[in-house]
Amino acid sequence: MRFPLGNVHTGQAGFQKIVDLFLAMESASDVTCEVDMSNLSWIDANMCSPLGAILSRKKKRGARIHLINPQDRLKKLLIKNRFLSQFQGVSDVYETTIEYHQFDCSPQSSSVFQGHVTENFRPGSKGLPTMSDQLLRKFRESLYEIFQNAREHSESTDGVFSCGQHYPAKNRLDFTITDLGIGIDGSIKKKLNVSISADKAIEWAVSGKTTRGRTGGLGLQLLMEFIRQNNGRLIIVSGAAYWQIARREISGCLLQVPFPGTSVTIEVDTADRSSYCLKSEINPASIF
Amino acid sequence: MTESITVKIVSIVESGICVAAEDGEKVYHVVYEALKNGKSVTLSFKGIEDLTSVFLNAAIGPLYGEFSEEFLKTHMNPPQDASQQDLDTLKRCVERAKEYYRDPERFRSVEAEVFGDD
Repeated sequence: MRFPLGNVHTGQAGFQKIVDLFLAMESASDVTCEVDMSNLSWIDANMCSPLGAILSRKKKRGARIHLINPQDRLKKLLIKNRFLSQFQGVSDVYETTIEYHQFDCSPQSSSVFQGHVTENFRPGSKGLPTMSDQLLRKFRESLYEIFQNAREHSESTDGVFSCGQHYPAKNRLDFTITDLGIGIDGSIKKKLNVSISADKAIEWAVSGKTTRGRTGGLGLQLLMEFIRQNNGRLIIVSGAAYWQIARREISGCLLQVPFPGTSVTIEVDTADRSSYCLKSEINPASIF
Repeated sequence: MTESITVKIVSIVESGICVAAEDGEKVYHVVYEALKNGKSVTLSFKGIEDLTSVFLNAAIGPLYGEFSEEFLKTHMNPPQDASQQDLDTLKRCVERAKEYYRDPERFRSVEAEVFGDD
């Protein structure tokens, strides 16, 4: 059965297209699923993370997935980032792609993800945009916070999917981490035995609450502070809820069809030269 | 006089990338044993390249469930070689842990906070 896919940009419309594709594929009983890319002239490469997640789930359940009729320009992009893994590799002349990866949720996967982040986001990394050391460190640590949250809370049996893209002309660096787990609302329901809507669950999570039964829950809060200061964008999709902070403004809506898990996108302004220094110095003697 | 030990975080984690809860737990166990034996502890942040709240919550947070705030105030020495950014993350994790362990039940009772007028 053939499933058409149009352009996918980072944002609510892009996620809606992916969940629509997911729903259509779930409804089909065919073993062979062809994703028709003839009308796909662009996909923000980081959106390969949620797209790859749902295709991977379908494949894991026995379907044969074919990505057909990719346009040449897009085909090159999706080869460079290894999303179209059935093709031969093409050299990444512009070095703006960050490879698509699937990780499991084991403790060992932390090391694998760390290796991936280290390779791509250290001073001197191939193709890395010029970023201040502080910004680069904050970016790396944000990725680790998101990944560890996905690994610890999602209960995803399909793993965690990541992909990124640098847009040099726009001074923009995007990275998306996706899981196909129980969602933030599912995690809260399970651990605290309360029912909560998907949108309220995200609001709860970014306010710094914890479900752990022990202290914690600061990761998303720290991430929000960083994104505000950078004037970047943070998008959280979990279940039926789409939430974002962009240009320091928060907005959200409900998707027509729930996304089967959680996807977090961080977008930073790579030209940001803010010092990220604290307003007042912390005395080590005051910590404990 | 209380014996003092320095716990070099990167030596326990065997890496400067201190981001996972499992690695934080390794640090917690070392600190816990030292404190249980009546020693005071200095955490060394020397060599840390990346640090997350996930790691620190696992490394330090649970100490506040095992020891009183007063005990930790006198037995956890000022951290060494920590950047201001590291200190900021650590301080937030410590404050969060203090809040939590002062009243764990309040943290678990989320209905009124979450639902409001639902």
